[in-house]
Amino acid sequence: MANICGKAYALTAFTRMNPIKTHGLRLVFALIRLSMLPIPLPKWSLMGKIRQVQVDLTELSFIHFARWVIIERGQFPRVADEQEPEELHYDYLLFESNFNGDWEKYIDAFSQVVPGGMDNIWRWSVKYPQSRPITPFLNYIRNCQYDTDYYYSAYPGASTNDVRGALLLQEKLDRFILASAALPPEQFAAAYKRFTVEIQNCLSTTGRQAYPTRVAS
Amino acid sequence: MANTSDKAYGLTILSPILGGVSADGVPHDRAIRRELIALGADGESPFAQVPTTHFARCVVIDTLPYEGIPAKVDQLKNKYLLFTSNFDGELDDYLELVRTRMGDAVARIWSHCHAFPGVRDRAPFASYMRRCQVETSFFFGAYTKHTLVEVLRALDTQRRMAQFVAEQQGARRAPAALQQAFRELVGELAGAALPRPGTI
Amino acid sequence: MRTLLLECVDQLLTDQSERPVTLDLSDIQSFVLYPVGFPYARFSFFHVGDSLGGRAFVGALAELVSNASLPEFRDGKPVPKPREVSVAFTYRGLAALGVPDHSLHSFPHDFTQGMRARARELLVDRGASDPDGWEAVWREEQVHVWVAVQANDAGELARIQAALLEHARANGVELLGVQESGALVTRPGGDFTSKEHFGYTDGIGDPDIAGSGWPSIRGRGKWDEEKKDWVPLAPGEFVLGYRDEAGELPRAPVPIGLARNGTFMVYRKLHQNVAAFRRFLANEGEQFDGGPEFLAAKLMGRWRNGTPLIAAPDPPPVGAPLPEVAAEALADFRYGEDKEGGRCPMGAHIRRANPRDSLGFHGVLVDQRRIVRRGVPYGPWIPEETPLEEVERLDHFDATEPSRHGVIFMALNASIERQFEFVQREWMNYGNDFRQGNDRDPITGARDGHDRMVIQGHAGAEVRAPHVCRGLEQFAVTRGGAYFFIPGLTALRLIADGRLEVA
Repeated sequence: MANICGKAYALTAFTRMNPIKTHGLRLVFALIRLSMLPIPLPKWSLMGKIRQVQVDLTELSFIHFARWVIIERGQFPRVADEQEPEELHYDYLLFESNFNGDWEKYIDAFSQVVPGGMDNIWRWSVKYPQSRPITPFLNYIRNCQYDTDYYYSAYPGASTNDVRGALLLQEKLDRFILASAALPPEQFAAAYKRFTVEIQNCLSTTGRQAYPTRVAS
Repeated sequence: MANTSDKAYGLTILSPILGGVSADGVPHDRAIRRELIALGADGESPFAQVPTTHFARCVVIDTLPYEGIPAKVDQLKNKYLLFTSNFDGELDDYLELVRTRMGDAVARIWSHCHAFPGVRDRAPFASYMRRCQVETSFFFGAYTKHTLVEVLRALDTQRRMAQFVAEQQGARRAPAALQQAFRELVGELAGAALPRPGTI
Repeated sequence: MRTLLLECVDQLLTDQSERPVTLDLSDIQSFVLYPVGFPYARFSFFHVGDSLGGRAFVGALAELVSNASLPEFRDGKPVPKPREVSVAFTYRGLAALGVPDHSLHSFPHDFTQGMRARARELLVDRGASDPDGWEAVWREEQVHVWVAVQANDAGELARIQAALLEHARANGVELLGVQESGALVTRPGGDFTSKEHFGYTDGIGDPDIAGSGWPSIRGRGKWDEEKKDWVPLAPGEFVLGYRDEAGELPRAPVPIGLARNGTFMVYRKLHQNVAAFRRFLANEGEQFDGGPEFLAAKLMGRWRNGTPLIAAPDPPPVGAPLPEVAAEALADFRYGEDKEGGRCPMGAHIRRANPRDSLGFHGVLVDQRRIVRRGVPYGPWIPEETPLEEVERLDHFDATEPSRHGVIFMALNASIERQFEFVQREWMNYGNDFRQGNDRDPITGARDGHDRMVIQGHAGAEVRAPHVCRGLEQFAVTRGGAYFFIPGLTALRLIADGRLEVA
């Protein structure tokens, strides 16, 4: 079992859907993809609200990468004649997430910040309890979660915030190097001072640490 | 196509594991788990040799969830190896990197799967992986406009810059000396080696 | 069809139709809800040898314990209660008192495991704070019963304490130790203050709890974005048996009669290294634009008189007194206008302990992480003019010489893991949620090599550069502590009478 790699946690979960309901979920994903098109959407509109879920997910800044994969009951790969075909009742929804640290904190944040978004994706799944109140939701995820056998991160010492902070710093620095190259010392010092204010929330200690992580229960 | 988001690709592979036992008498799913446990971690991971992989995981799916009546039990006829990766660029390029850079590990693991053609030739390997691929319905990434190389570079820069700001702070620092020190930092950054994947 | 109809009927009675909650004040211990500090406090720790004697002792205590009924109010101000007696039990204590296994096993695992077992890993009590070096009474986990006697005068306290010890003696319950504490007097012949040993005014941010009967104070509850106003927190965050912020009843032991109106307490004895703190302020303050007093404010997020930096971000002119705001404004602020920390640093103590809206989403990520804090200093105040070598001598403690000054930190919450431990782990000893990487709380953080804090500056007409503090020391050292259950008054009787058998 290797759900944790440095600051990252690998969540893998399968839930099951009555194949008729899978169409509902497909529609939800279609709407989500539509909402990502670069067109203006009023915040109060359905599409605007769907877009807001993604804005909120980004702002939560817990997740490096996440995905949802619908696997229909007939879609489990069959690659050889001698492989027995599956006979399943349900379609499946795979959810994988690469997020920072604490399992319960992560699920909790989902439930607090984007309850509607989560419900729209999972309401098609068998016995989904809704994301609030939290305890049945936590139990539901625990029941359908798989332990990861091998987990790799190319930057185990970095949280999502660490990465975003570093990318911001790099961008500001590249710009500052160009802009300040020809400045005389006095002006350089003043410009440098303004530059440090721009990157002041990217200056903390980063990297792997003996961070007190709880193993997911 | 929902496999991609900007520069990032979310690959989902589900490979059916052989039934019965492997050469040394161990069931194939357990043999895979044994291989996975033996893989190196962090910078020693075979994935560290594929410099476009941000995150990757392997999970043996040996059973399906059950929520209680009136739901029905679904029984798998095969076990599956779930392999997912979050990487930069195109699938074909990636599969080729996987085949050539971490072929040994892949061969050891996938040798316990149905119809695995091995890693010797490009075309059969890519076609096998594509047959095992499941289309991602929705893929989300927090910084998909940036490649792994950019992320590693930025993480390294952040450390050096944080150190620099702390060392140079204070109103009493002479502007000329500050500027000189900054130029040295810029030179140092330009010459700095990229941190190896898995080590930062 | 029938199910659908029933669901519609259910919909008629949802959240929206809820009426204000009232807590059963006469069944809750006063300690849980009474927000006013006492000048004199004494904590006694007991060990129960046999359960019969122990239960008789608890029966006697049940008569002494104060309940949370509201005091009289005159001109809108509470008339201070003359005394307060409070009782709590460790998991081992409940077992020693004969609480049935069935009930014991239903307690949450944070409480059953206890603080000592979780200290190193989850509370980051390492190095000088390592539990192997704690004071003997906590290291050996012998404490079963905790009794707090607090009073407004020393005579009253002594009288109750004598009665308490007599009950213990009569029932064969062993007194393991006593912790004296009380409000600090910072000037010879002066009044009691609400200062702690580093000179900060303490005890400002206690949460506003729905149904407690106390008038709401702005900024102490949670922000309601729809009402655009502060509202009290759901009582289930602090008292078992009531709805919490997640819209459910908090996890509680069985039978419900044991749990209802009870709560969990974190008790920690924290030594304060006063010399190290003063030396740091002096040395780093010399490098810091604005000087030591401004630096002290930046570490805390408040000036040492309690005024929040959000309300008064600029240092006063040299020689002028510290900025002040009205008492009711001490907690009435948010961080929405200070997203980059130019006023109150992102990693300042109060911003970490209660981030309010700092984490975005109008503060919803914070509402289930609040704690009720009951801190009391121990040991005498060390005057500012005391030479540092002398302060250092006073700071010294070891296995035989107990710590002379510090704070008895007590936190009350419905879930130790979700509230206190979370704050300690994720917010005090990690900085990620505040975009501060691995940096830790400047005042209470475990150092363990983490000695940095970034104090943000700001752009504008007069640019202020960020300042990176290095060389933060271990200013607070854990000397011991435990997790306790504070039962309601009915539950106390059930324990005393051994009537907790459940089917």
